[in-house]
Amino acid sequence: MDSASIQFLAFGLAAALASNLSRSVVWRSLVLMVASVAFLVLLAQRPVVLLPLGGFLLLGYLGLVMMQRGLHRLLVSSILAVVFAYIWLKKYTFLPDGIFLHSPYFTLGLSYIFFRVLHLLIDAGEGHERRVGIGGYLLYTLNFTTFLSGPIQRYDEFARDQFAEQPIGLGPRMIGLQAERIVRGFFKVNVLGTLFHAFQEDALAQLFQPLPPSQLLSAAIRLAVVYPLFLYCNFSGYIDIVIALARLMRLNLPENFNRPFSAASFLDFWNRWHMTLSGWLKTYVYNPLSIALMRRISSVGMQPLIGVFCFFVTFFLIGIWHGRTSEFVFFGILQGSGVSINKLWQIGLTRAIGRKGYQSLAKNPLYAASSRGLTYAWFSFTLFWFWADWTQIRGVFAALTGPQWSGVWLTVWIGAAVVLASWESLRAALLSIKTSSGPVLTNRYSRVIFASALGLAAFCITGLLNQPAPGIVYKAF
Amino acid sequence: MTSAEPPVSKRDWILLPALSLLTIGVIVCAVEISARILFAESKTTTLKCLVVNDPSTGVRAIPNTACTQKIAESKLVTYSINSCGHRAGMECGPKAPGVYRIVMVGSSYNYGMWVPREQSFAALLPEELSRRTGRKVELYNEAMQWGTPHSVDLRFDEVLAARPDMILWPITPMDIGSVDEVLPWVGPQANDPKTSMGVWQRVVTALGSKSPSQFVADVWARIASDLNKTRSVLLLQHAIFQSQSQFVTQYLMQPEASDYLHSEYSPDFQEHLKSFARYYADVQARADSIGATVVVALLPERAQAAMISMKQWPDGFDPYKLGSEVRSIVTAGGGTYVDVLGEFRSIPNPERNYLPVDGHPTAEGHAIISGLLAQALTDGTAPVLRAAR
Amino acid sequence: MDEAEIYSRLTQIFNDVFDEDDIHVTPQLSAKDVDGWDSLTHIRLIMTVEKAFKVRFSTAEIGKLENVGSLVGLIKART
Repeated sequence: MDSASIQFLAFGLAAALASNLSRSVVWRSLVLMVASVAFLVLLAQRPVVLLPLGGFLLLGYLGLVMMQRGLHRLLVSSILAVVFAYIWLKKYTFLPDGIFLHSPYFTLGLSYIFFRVLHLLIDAGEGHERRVGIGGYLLYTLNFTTFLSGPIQRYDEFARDQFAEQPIGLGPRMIGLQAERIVRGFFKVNVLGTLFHAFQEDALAQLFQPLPPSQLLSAAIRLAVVYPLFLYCNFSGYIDIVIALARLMRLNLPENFNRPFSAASFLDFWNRWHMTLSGWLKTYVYNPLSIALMRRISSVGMQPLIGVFCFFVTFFLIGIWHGRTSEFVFFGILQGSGVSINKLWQIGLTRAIGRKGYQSLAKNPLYAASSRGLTYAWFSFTLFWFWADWTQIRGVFAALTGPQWSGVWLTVWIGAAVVLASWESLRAALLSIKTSSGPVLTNRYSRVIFASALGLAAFCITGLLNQPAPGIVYKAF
Repeated sequence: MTSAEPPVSKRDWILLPALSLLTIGVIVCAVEISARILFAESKTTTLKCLVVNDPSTGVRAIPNTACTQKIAESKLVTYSINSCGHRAGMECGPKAPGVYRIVMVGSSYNYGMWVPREQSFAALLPEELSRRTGRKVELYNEAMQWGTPHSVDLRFDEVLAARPDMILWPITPMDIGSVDEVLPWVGPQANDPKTSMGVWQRVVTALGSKSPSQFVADVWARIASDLNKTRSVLLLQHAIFQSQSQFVTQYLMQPEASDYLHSEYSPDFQEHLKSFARYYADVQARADSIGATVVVALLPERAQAAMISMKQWPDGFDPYKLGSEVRSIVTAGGGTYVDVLGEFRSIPNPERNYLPVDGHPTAEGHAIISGLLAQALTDGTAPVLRAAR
Repeated sequence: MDEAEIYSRLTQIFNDVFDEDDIHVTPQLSAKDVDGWDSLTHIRLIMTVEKAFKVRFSTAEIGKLENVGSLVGLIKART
């Protein structure tokens, strides 16, 4: 149930069917609550392991109630309490081992609940008029469609749909679109994700084999190239499924991906990858931190550097949110550095050739392709600290010499630049084939053909061949 | 807040599902046709050269016959049987003076299934041993398809009649898994009650004896089993099983197939090992009566070879364990065990030397096995075969 | 303060922050329509608007701004 499996699909579709038996707010909320609790119980298997999660939710709700009653002076301490509780429950390794609970307990979904709780707390602490009761709080935090891996939805958007007297429409066309999205998501996770994961594992195994240098180089390149593709298929595929299931329950969830490998800069990449995460941190970390610093440091010349610093902090936090060990601290440093260096480059280039000159350069196809390739290569590099531990990382990098690794990353950069630029051109060319009602490839007949092919492939790989698919990576965070 | 969406036209209610079914039909047909071309099989099989219904001997070959067969993943291979009923590449009879004779027994790996005889390790090994020892070594191959330990024991008199100096018995995990079997299942038999029942009768019988969920699961298993026999599925498996990690992961999910790879064996597999010990003991005793050395080696199957090469596996598994068990049985019985499993650590992607779906070694795999056995037999483990200095 | 006045003052603010003199401020205007409107200039813009209109926006309000129209709505609500 904690993956994009047939069981999860069946569960979600059953919940959607039940939810649509009546349009009343009470009925739909009851169904969502029952489904979410059932989902939790099925995942946890023993109720007692849910107690710490329950405690965390209670802590968050207490903080929210205090803020809603006007005790805004307690906002900072409430936030700190929630953050500490999160770090403690997740067992971040910079805390002493002795303070952790050592009996097993359930933490799936905690990382996303953390954001939802903080968002409610901060908004209420700043005087937001919104009033959230215990029912709304639990529905919002435990909503099974967003429980495991997001997207991170704001409460107002959730409440707008969930508590609407007239729920958003759901006709045959919309049902068909969601069915298509479910098929596409299922295919991404269980077929593409499986294949890319296999490529990565095979390449990793080959790096430790007694092979000639040319084959080791090939393995290293494959290892670097494949993981971002795997992660994209694994994560975005699951998001496709949950967005579709939620829509069938008349809930609009925010998109989490927008063609991330089309990004022509690392900054732009994070506007397209896990968008709700970067959006949340931009709202609740980058913006207030920038404003606070700019209020204290009035020098206009320093403002770009303040921006760079705030980018580093924001994306460092994004990095360490992903995991509790030192690998993720380094992952955060790499994310922060990538974004900061990107921003410094933009600032420096703008100063050197002027804003119009920079804008013109950014539109140059060669520059854009090169930037796209570099973004891909950098993201791929940082992901080594995402999927590997220090021992594996040392082993992987020891498999080749320094110059060989330089060659690998240069190849990845240039290769990604060429492939992604070709893909952009091909995509544009295919979408330019139009009829009066729009591009041929996106009309309903083409989409039915495509979805049918994907569905058949997914059926064969998953159902017939019973190929095991890797679990949803982002549920672990 | 409601939003009106344009209605689906009557035409689309028919056209879109029809288009979907058409798409699926076209793809299925195209893939199946392509798969049948890429993975053609011969109409002829080796069954015509075999006697498969004599429980007193197990499967044996018909003397002076030749059969050809091509399975989906192999080339067309000829199996020439000599006058004694063996795919030996030579006639049976007394060995020439000064020749060191090895008689090999065992099952399909040793028989050289799916590879030309000249490329099998049965043909390559004696040449390699002759080169290493400076002696004339010949290998008389009495291995047979479905040559389980039980059937080896049943036909062991043929081995003794060849007056071997050494009896070489490369064992595979499948041999242990089917240790007691004598005759293979080669198709539905006329007196099988299931074949005489109609489909409806079978459904009614099943519903009466099983729970609904079990019935559904069994129906799906039957459908999947039939679909899995299509060439399309074989094409997909052949492609997917090229991946070392995906093949091993999927293989380990099958409890029956991967039993021998577990750190703790099931009661059934433990019984299989006991049976093997009994057959081995009998074989050893009879070999002792003519003064022949029995040498056993465990040849890894595809998944086992891959795991050893990867040097890592999930908790609860141990690809070396079966080798240790077989070694204990053989050495306790006074025989000689030669270990080749460990050598797979230094062979990159050894699973590429096996047919991905069928699992038998390819010609390259046979060459590797020949090299490994030659090394193991000449490094002093078998006292009579030392490498020439 | 009426909307026309708000838009008039915003036009001046936009031209100052983005160092342009021809930005046409409309309710639909958003970051994708103005070169150089990134996260950093967005913050500068917000701070300049807060100072000019003597208002303070909350974290959530700043985060939810989608276009100039929603900014004008916030300003009107505060003034």
